[in-house]
Amino acid sequence: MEMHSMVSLGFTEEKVPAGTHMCLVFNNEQERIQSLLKYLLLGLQTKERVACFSNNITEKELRDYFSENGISYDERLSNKALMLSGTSEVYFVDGVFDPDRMLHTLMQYHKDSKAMGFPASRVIGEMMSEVEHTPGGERLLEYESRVTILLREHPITTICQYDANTFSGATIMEVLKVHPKMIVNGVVINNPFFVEPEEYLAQKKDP
Amino acid sequence: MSGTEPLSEKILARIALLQSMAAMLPNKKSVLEFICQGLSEVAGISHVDYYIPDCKNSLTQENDRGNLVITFPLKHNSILYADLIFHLVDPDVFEPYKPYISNFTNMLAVIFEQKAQRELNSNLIAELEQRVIERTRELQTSKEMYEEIVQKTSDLIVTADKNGKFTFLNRVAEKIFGVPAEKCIGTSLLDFTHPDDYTKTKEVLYLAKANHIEKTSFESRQINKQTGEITHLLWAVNFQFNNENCIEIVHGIAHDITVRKKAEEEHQKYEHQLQQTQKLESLGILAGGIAHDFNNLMGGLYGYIDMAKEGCTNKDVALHLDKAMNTIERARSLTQQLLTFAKGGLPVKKTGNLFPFIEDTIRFVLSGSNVSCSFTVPEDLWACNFDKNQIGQVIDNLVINAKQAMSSGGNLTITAENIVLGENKHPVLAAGSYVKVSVIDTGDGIPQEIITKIFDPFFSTKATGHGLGLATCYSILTRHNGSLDVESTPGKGSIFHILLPAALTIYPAEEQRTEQSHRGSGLFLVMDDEEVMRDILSIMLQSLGYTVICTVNGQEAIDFAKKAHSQHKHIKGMIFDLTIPGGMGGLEAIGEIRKFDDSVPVFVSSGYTEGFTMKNPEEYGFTASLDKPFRKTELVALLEKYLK
Repeated sequence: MEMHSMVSLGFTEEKVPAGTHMCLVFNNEQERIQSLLKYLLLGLQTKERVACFSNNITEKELRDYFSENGISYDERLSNKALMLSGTSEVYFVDGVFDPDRMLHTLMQYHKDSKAMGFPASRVIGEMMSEVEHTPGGERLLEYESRVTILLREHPITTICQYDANTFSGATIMEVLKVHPKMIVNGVVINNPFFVEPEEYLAQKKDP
Repeated sequence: MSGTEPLSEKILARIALLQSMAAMLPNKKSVLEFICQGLSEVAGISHVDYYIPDCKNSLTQENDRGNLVITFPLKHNSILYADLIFHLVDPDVFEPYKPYISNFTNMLAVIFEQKAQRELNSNLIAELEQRVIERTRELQTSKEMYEEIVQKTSDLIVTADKNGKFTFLNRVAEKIFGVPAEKCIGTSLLDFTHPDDYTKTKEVLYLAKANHIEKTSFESRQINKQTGEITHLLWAVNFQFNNENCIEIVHGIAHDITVRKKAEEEHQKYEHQLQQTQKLESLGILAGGIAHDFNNLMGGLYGYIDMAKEGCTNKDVALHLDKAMNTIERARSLTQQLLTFAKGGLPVKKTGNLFPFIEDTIRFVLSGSNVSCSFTVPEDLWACNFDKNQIGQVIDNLVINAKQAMSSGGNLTITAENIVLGENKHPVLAAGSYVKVSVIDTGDGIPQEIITKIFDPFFSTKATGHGLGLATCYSILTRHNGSLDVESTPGKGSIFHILLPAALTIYPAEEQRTEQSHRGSGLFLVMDDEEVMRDILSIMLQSLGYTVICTVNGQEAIDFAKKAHSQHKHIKGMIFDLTIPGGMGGLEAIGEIRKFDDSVPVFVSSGYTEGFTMKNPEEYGFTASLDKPFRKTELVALLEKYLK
């Protein structure tokens, strides 16, 4: 495994290795939006390629925030440094949650970013609780676990946002098991519940 | 495993993380699920369950494996939120974790209490917010209702600051002040107050302010700045004082009483006219009484002198008797004037032209004076129905007054015109066609303060005046269904306008009287309470050939007539006095006479010459009437006409 460079997240002084897979469990809107904006802004400021998959952010909000911080939204959009899509249109294409397709998308995103000359890339995605009722939704944790494996070869720094108010406590605990690091009260910590993906996937396969 | 097994750092880290994250989850069930799953890998246990009191099926798994269990209550301040039930497989291995688990569960209990507290607060806040929303809605509704009432009322509603400057006015302001309500802000009531009410309004407001009166009411007239229209308002004003007893806010509501005020003015005018009429009626009763007695006395004088003149051969004596007769004529004219006021003094109208009659009368009155006169009379002036004597009296009075007002000379202008009055175009006259005659002098004019009194009986500005002139004129014209109006500018002169209805009914022209003689014979019955009248009538009738029987009241006359009738004695004629004080008068007597004799000529005689009976004797059973005083020639004409 190659050593990855350290990257800043924007909402904390700590740095993490590029390609870190983190989860952020939030229970208030302020925490969600602030971490999202700062994370994306820092990425753009450090010339990374950034992508945001969320139903809960608008172009205007991003444009205004970036503009206040000296970055042109439209310019970054046009040179493909920035990508904004809704959660549903990225994760639930044709109403189905397909981990394989998603993983391919991520891999391709990383390859493209490298090809376009970006020194690094980052993604933030907000998972919606409707995944639990979407065909393929039962494979969410499998997907998250495989993302950890994928990021070893394709180091996209990734934050997965989960709303504690919309997912059950049991699901949240499962989510913790598939993210090596987690962000708690703005601090990145090593996740004591994390289960290595190979082990986790094996348990899933043979409980 | 054994009890000496070292504590797993990973497990301790998990407990710490669970503690940090527990507060993030929204509800108890979610937290407990999260915790139970998070603690399931603690050494020495198989799994962890939870139990929520009063919550069915809260135990996550059946305790049927026969394992030992240890329960950690999540309890704080005597409230049990839940139990965490650890299913032990190796109690010794689990033992070192117990204090951490115990601390953790205590912390969880605190978290649950905070959550419960937050939930309670949140419910209270939601309830409060709901109440605020409802109250705000109620206030909004109330405000809207208030605004609707304030804006839709027909009353003017204002508020003003301590200086009396408007801070709010409803829409009625524009109608009354002629300025949009918003543009009135900063102005004051006095800016729109009629000059005549300015001081009074200012005083009322000042007194309320000075004496700390909270409520006051007053009337004032407001001027519309756009149209000049005047609105009478009845104000109810409420002053709000602050702790230092200074006015803070003034609230005012004003009701438009213009219609009421105008009605009051009309009523006052009507009252004035009624008083005028009542005065005239009172005077009429007095005048009628005087005229009656006076005419009786003059009747005697008239008769005696007339008879003396008839038998007089001495020229000097005859001349003196003529002068005496002329003097009595003037006295008769005065009683005529008094009788104008008498009840039932109706004019004897004949259809004719006012001109040249008026012109002749004026020229006669002004002859020899230093007042010139000019006439502007259209040729097509409508005819009128009028009593020549009475209208002559009006013209006499007006011209004499004008002459006196122009003592050092001047000009009297008389104009006449046909006019048509519409509805409510004149205070007292009905709509219709009228002839208007204006008498315009260049005299002293009439002061404004007395102009409303000049038609009052006995009101006079002249030392020698009896105050009957203009009252007579007013009375005459009222009885002609016309009017007499005045306008005057002190120092410049006065104009009297006579309005008489144009003739619609044609009355026969006055008959020409010619000198007549009469010779009769037979019995003639006279009834009069005045001895003088009985005497002179006897002399006159006897001189004409009649045998005269005199009676002093109606009953005596009836008794005589009945007796004569029963004895088949023919009575040629009768003359009855109309009024007998304390006895039966002519009116009652004729009723009895006509019961047994409906052919005998009976004449009614009275000093109440303007009375209805005298004007219409046939309607009461009389043959004709004879006004007192009368000359023998008038008696002769009467007898010649009816007894020939």
